[in-house]
Amino acid sequence: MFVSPAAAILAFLGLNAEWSVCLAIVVGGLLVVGGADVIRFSLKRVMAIASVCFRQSIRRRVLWITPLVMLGVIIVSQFQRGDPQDAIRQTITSCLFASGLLVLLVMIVLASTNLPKEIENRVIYTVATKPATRLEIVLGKVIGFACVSFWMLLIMGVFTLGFLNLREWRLRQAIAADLEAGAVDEISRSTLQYYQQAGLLHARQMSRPARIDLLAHRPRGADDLWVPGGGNGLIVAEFAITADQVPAGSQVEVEIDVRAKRIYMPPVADTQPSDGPAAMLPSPPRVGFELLDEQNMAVVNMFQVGQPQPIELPEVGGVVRRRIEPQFLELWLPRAENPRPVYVSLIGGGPQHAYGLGRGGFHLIVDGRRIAPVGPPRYAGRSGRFGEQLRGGSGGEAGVALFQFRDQPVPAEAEQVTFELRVGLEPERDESDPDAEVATRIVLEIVNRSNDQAATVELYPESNRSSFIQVPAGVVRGGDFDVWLRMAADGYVGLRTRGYPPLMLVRASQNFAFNLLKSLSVLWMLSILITIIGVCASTFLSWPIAIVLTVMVLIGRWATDQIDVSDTGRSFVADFLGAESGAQARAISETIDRLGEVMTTAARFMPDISRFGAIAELQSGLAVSSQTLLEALGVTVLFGAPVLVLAYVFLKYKEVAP
Amino acid sequence: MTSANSEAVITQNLTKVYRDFWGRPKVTALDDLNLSIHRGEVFGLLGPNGSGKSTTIKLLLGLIFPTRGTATVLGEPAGNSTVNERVGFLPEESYLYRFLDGEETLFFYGRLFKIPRKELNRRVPELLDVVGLDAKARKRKLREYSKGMARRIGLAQALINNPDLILLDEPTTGLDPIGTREMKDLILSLKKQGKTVLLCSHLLADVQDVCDRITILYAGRMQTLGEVRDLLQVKDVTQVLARGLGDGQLQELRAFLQRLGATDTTVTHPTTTLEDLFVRVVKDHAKAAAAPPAASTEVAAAANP
Repeated sequence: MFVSPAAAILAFLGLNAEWSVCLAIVVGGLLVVGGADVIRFSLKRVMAIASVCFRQSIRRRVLWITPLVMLGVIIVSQFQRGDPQDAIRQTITSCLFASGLLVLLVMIVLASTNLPKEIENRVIYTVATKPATRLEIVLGKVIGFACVSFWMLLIMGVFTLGFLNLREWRLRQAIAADLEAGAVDEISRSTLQYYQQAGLLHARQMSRPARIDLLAHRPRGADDLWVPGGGNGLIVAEFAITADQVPAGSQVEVEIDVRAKRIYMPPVADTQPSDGPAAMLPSPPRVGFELLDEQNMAVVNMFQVGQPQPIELPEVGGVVRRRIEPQFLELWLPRAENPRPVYVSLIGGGPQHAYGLGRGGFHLIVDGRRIAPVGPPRYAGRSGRFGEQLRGGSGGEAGVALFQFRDQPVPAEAEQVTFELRVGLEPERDESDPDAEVATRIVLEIVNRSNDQAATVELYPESNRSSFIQVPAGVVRGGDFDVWLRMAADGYVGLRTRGYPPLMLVRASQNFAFNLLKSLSVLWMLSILITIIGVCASTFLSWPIAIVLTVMVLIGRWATDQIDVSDTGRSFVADFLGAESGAQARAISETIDRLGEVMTTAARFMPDISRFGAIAELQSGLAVSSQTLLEALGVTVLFGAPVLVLAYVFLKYKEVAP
Repeated sequence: MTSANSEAVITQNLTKVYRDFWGRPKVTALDDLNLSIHRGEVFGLLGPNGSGKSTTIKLLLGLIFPTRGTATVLGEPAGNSTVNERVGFLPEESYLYRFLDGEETLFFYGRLFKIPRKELNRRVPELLDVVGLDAKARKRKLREYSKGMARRIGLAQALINNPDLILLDEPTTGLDPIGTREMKDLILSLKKQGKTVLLCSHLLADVQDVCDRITILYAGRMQTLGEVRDLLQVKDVTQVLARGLGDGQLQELRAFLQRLGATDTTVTHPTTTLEDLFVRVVKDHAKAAAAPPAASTEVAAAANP
């Protein structure tokens, strides 16, 4: 089908509404409204205004706040308790949180008050009557305040580095003394040895697994992939489909080719479950499926899809095909202008069964047209407190997690390489003594797919803490290897499959100071964005209102994401009015939904401050990735540029003489 | 008829109406002002408080926008940042950055005109001398300045770009009589250099001393316009000035004038202005104080050989 260039451009702009608006504002503001000012633009004048702005802040002793903040951090750190890893992590968090908070508050106040105060005390008369254009005035102020935040962050950065090094030195001394005295338990020894060698201030660059699957047992072949029943396992398929691909009145069905088998739970420890005597458990296999959003949260649960009861299958499985009601499609499918991946998950019932996929796999069928998933499905675990749950045990009931590392860079010269493991533990407690410490054994087996070298490691990690495991470098050489993880104790191990993977290979180590510098750069970019928003708000509002607006714009998107206002009308009516039907209830529900839509739409045009992740990586001892820096830069430029241009346009048409 | 090139400022039906929050007219600050200020003249804008003087200046500088009408400054639309290259402005109070010192202030405003550093190094001390700020004052923060010093530094920043048109809003406010006299002398010297000066004041004596032409505004409207001499001349009264006449001759003169038919005759000694008297006394005193003390020693020595 031929698509004209104009239609293609319009379609692109429709899909990228935020960027289109940004581009329109920048181009329209600079070329249409401010063409003459752009031609006259002088960096010399901008820097003159910036230098006065900077000097003003410095001479008003803004930097004097930093020693107070440092003092606060030192006091807070005296109350921090925990092991060395915790102590350093808490200190990093305190220092960066304090630096960030200080800079953000100061910038909000400075940027929002400067222009209104200059108009109020009429200093603007002597600046605006000079050849400086309003564009130069706005830009000069932003640069001036950016310099102030730069110096604040530099001072706080130097303090942070010094303070952390001091704490690290003291903690390493203590670790060395404990190790020498033998006052260290088995659980902590390897980690403490790693700290003693590598230090506590890490900036590790990690190789990450390409995918993580949680399986019922270790497969004996490529097709032997099963998840446990009893709601403990899921098979999840990703689809790229948007609402516009499903015309009104379409019939949409989910089709899954499911295999089922009975699994035998031997009474003695055995790492390999067998298919055992199936006849001993009479109930047939049963499955359900759910429709998940991009966060893997169920939008439509299994009881809403198809029928209220799980779908019974023949003993060896079969093809499940169920229609999705239009009202559920409306909830599930993203709009064309905001495409996101969506998922279908298969959940198997009955602990005596395991479930896999037949050759047909997953399909969505829209009016007879079959839509295949994006990539192979993932084998997942039930969501628990610490991520997806993998069942442990000393026998065949224990599941395995497979971490596939493919073409990952690995240390070239080292004899030993280090893995970092961070899992959550939910061991089964002794009912008679629930407070008793349970040492949980985790078994890792690393298998190199290129040279078949393998290594097995057993360890006793602490829950939700990093453990470091050293293995011979040969097992990871070539970067193509699998790691099998199982918990050799009753209970569950939680594995986070989103964000930072629970198992990573330490590829290299960066200088901590450089890593800190990168984190501070992210904070600096955020401070520049705040300055731009503050200056823009102050061009048309009095300073108290400008401060409020700046804060609202800054946190608007984040807050909207947090409260998730979409489709809340019905639940609000049900929760607070106790009625789901009736004209009044419908009107209230629809009004709330519309308001939610307005808020969500408005939030799309606000900056996403969650992209300024300055603390998380540094706190976890990971090297701040270039992606983190680029994301922060992207939001700063793509949101900051149009707001800066708007500030210029507002000021250009503002009568600065009260 | 005057051409646009010979006019420094032209306004046509210039009107400014201030509106309330809802956009309803609140105050008409300036109403249909039609004005031409010739290049090279000192023009006075007079009027009581609220007559529209400051509004006119703000409109000419682009600090506010007209509701109706147009204003042209040095041949270009008012408020255009290119025209600001050739305009100097002293606001009614010195609205400057109070955390900068005198020199920093002038360097800052100089940089806004993109004056090269080398040129500023020469021009800044020169201007500070012209406005009478001593070396000590130059290094003091503006927040420590007296009102008079603030006016002086304000004037210096208005002249930093060697402007063709200078707008002075109440230039003598806060100045002592010496400062007032120096300001007036400076205005006259600017005129000699061919600059155009627009002076806005309600101190009528100052305006009378330096202005070539004036206009009087009242309630936003122009009430009168013309040369100061013409406007102040009382056509039906004659003034005779003479030196060296005694009392008897003054009696004779009075009788003579009555014989010629003159009425309300006054023959008396002229008085100087209070400003002239003050300036003379202070300057004489300053001169005496600055005289070398050796002279008095010599007198004492002569009296006691």
